[in-house]
Amino acid sequence: MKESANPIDELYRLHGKSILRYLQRFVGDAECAQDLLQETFAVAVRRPACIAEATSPRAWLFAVARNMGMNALRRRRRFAALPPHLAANGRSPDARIEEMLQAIANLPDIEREALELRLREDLSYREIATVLKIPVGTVRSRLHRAVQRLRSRLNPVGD
Amino acid sequence: MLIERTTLERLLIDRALGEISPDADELLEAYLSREPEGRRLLAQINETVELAKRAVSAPMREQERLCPLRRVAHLEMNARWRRFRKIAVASVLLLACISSGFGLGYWLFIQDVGRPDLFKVVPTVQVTICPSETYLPTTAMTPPAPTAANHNTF
Repeated sequence: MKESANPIDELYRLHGKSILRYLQRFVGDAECAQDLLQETFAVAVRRPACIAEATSPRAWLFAVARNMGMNALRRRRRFAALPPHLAANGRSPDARIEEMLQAIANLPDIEREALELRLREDLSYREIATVLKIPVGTVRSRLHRAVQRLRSRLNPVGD
Repeated sequence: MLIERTTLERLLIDRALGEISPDADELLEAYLSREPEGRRLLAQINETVELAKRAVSAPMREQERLCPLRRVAHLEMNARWRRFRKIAVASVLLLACISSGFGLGYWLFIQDVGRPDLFKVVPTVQVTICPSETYLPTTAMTPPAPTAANHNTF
């Protein structure tokens, strides 16, 4: 009961799941993602001022998690070509969703990452910009290109 | 007024992603009500975004369930311990530097005290070999013997 009053605990309760999902896709390893999640919140505990000053604590946490993921991948010296859930997911009954999964998997990494942050994690353009450390305009153009690619893939004669 | 297709597409994508201001949305809606081609584009983009959203929102697997945060108290203690350790290490280093300085100074002082005559002027003996049979000892503090002045004439 006492722990729930802790702001870090509260942030963990609110955003832990989505950050964990993000990390799992990022590093492709559930166990490693759990460790990285804990490390992410350990950073938050060490830097309470950063959380307090952040425009969006959620975006700040995602940015820290992303750095952790990058470091983990660098340590392992390998990069996941496809997000594991996309590569391994063959259970969708809907053919169009299956096709869409393939289309998303074929997107360039930078566009796919921005798209997933928007659609899955529901981050705003500004928050995505914070996470990826790029300008908001770049986020917008990446998302536009991603949606255009997906649309042309699903509607080849539509253009 | 006709909006360029590229611009319209961008606006529609922003709208589908929920990143358009209410004013712009209203204007866009008014425009689309007059443009069947725009509405077709809107339907396509909406369908694409909706499908993409469903595709990426796969349910979490069992192994993805959130574990309890690894002891926030423990993390906080770690953070406090790290801060304390930093300060402790810095203090120990500082104390070590100060002690070394004092130690070195004291050692030099002891050395000086142990050898009080270290910098005193001590008279030395200078021997001048003369060709004659006289060998006159002299000191650096005394003028040379008068006979030594003659050796050049030899």
